[in-house]
Amino acid sequence: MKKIALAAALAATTVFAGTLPAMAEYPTSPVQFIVPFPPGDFEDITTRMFAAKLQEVTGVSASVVNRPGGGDGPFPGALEVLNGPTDGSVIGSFVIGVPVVGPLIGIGIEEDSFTPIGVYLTYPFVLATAGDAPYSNMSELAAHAKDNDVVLGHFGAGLAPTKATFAGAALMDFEFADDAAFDMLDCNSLSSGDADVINTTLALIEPCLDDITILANIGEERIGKLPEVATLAEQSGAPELELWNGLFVKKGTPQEVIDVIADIAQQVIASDEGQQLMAETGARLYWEGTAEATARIEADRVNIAIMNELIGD
Amino acid sequence: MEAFLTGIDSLMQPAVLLAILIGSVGGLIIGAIPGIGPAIAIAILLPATVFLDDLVSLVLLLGVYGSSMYGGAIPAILINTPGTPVNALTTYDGYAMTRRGEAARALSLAYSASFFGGCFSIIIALIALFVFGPYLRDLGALFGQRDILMAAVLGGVLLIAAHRQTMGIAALLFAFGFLISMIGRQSTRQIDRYTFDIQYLYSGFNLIVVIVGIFALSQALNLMVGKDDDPPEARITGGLLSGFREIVGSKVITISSACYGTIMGIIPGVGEFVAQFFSYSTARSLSKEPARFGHGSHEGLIASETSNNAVPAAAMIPLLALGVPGEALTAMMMVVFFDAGIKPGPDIFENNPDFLFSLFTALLLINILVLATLLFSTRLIAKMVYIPNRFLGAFIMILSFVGVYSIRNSLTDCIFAIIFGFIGFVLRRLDWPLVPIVLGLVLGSIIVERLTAGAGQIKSAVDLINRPVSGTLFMVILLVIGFIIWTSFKNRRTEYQS
Amino acid sequence: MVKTAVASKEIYLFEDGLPFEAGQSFQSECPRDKKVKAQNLFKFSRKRGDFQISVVAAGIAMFFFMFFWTKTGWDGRKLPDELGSYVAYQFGLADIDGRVTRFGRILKQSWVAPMLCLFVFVPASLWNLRNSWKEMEWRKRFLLPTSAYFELTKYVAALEYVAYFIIYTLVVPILGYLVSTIILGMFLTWRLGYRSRRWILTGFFSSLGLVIAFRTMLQIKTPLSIWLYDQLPSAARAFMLTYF
Repeated sequence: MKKIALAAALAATTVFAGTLPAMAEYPTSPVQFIVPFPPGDFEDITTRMFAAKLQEVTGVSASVVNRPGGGDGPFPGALEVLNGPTDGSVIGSFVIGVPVVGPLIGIGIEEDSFTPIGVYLTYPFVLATAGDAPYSNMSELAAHAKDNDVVLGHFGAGLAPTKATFAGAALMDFEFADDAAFDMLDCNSLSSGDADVINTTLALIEPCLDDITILANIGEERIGKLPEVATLAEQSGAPELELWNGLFVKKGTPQEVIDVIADIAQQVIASDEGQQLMAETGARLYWEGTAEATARIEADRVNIAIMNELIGD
Repeated sequence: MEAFLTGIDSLMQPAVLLAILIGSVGGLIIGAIPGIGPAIAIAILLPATVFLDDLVSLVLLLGVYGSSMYGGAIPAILINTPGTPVNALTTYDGYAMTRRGEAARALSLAYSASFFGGCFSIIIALIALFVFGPYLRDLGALFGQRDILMAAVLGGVLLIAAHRQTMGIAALLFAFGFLISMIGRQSTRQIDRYTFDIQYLYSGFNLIVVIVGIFALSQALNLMVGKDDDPPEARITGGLLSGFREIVGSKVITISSACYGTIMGIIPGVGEFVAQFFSYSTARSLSKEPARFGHGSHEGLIASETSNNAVPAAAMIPLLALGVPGEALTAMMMVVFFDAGIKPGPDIFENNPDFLFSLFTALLLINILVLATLLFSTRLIAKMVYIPNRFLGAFIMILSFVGVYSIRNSLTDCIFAIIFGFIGFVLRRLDWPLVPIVLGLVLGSIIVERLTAGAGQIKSAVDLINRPVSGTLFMVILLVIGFIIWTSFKNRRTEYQS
Repeated sequence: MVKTAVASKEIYLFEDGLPFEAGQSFQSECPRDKKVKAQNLFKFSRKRGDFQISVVAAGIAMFFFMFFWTKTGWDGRKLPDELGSYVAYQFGLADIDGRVTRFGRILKQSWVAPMLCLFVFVPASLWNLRNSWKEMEWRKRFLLPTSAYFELTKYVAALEYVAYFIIYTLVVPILGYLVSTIILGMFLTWRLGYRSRRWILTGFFSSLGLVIAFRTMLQIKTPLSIWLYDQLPSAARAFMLTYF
């Protein structure tokens, strides 16, 4: 008797309090948002807001899982969504690179592998360098780089912002001495000397914004917070490329899933929290549904092809 | 200071407190059952934590980690079987005392020593945070990719050096784990290592699959294939509070052992074994009755229990400060950190100081809770010790499946887990150490990543070591390697003489 | 006459048989309790079967070594043309005119890390094999047993349970997590020798408890297309899929 009680007690000690899902239409089982980058950046923050809202509205447990790909960027995380189910329990929070560059590198992502729920965020993506560097915009960098070694730090060689940077360098006729892929580029990367120029978003360098120089901004418009920093397109003549983040599901997911998540996302963007994030950080939050997002992706594919030619890829 | 209060605040939610309770009591029971250790429990719980809240899952795992060594002393003392591998030295003096009829005294000594050791290292860590925290933020600039690379390499070298008698085997298994971590394909960087064009191998081996296989499933197989022990029931008579008085009587040994535990915990790659060994030897040389060590000396018991409980809190420090895990259990918890949105590394003092305070305060609460539980329910928990081994093995096997499957929904993962389980089983039967494989996997991926990220700034080979931190660490690595070579030459002649 | 013979010591052939004399303190013949060395706790002695496994380990090392040349990107390597002078330059022994390849560009290539790893793996495994072989020879020399047959029986026994696990893995998508786990729990309990009704029931309840704890309450992911559940009417099917 004692041994049974013990064994049963052993089983019982592994019981935890959990949330039981609501019995309704989607969502009925826990939903996971996959963010293919380490925590802390805009896509992570906004996706967490979405997950919290989903959980609040539907009562189903919604969590955010970070799947950083190391130097391989967002692709391992994207593959995880690709290999997941089509019932809406796994949702990807992807940057432009996934649907646009993914099909070009032969890892199993096709042009139609993912259906966009919508595009909602434009990163304030910049080229930054330490405050005491002897250059403060792209042309000065070009002049400096001709005689000195400048090392670029980026999130992965195949990604859109990296390609844009190299295309800009090609057009301005200089070369980076070397480059390295990081999974996190923040104040520490510059202050510890791991790279001379970094490609990063404003969220990651927020704490030291006063100590560093922003050379250029990669996007279609200048960032509201930094009106005196010109875009890379302006300074180098490279094609304009906006770096956005969107929510995606695997092809074949029911429309109901897309509608529910789109609704939640729009609620979050319109809320005070969302507006505050936009005002404070320089990111732009908006909502472009499936049709507009698909059109945008097509346009970006054309631009990337142009850049690939410039770089010689 | 406000970070401290925010930290305490986030700790005071019901879900977190419940997790602390379950973690401590659960960890206690898991430690008390010989055959399951914290490694297995953490390996099995890891995948489940994805579904829980961040701080909740972290605190749960910490509870298991911190309290299992308390529980592990119970069977070590009562039936001469260590509940966790780390309590091995406790069996010497503890069981001898039980044979003399002093089981209760031994247990209470073990608890109070563990409590002291645990609290000591937590308080040191908290003080260090308070005092050095602000400065560490500025130190962040000193720690670039190359420095952390050197720290990880140092961790690996120290790990191998710590296996004094089995260095070759430890090196071989470490390299094996390292190689396994490198299997995979990264298309954006034209990296394709040993994938043999097999789809499954493109993303490489998942850390949790290997850990569950090597620790949990191998132990399950080991237990099922072995025999049930049938230990005689030991009687515990008398109160359990006398230990505290005895601790006060042996202040020097207690404090020195706690210091050993803390320091060994901070040094990556070293861990509880070496801490115990050193503190036991030092205690013996400091003691007035060295001959009694191993035969029921209360000082020996204090020495081993204090040092092994001082390690967990200290082992969190290299993990948090550098992002380099010091031993297998903290390596496993790194996964939970990432899921919680915390990136361990020099930035943590700047970005998440309140989290650090929550962590260590939770650890303190766990220690207190465990002690309180033990004082009331030792006899009940002692009965857990008698669960038959083979049944336990079967239970672990069933538990492991669900953990492995929930990582990537892949049945192939489960099959690889049992293959690693078989490998671990073979290693256990040969007495070869298992930890180097896991640390090879973890440190290996850190080393490769830091190498490729730092390669941008490396113009010539000397750039690897011309920074202050990486240069110093490189010197230390050379010293340790020199030490290894020197001692192995010294021992060469006596190799086959016993 | 008897008395005198006993009194003299010459009738005793061996020294240890001498009677105890007054004035001598008692000397026990039992050896003293050895001082416990904490080192003995970590004493490592090679077990039987060590040699065979060391051979396997060396084989694995050779396997990785053989495929290093083709499977890690070594064949696509980009090294500077004059490797000798480049190495000399790195050590400060020579000078190179013109552009020097950055060392980092070499380090970034995919074969570097496996090469460093193999530098440790291959020698360590060969060294271990040598030690294991010497230990085996030493044991043979002293006519100590070296057969690994017992270990082999243990490996085969473990393989049986590996097979059970693999079968379980394959059965879960067919019968569902709840049913398969309960079957496995009860079967293993029975197989391991706990044949009394009490024990089988323990097996049943612990596996049930496990399923409830992990699947129903924590909602851990288990396979979602289950043949058995597909046979049920759709309401029951949805319920079972979500909770079991």
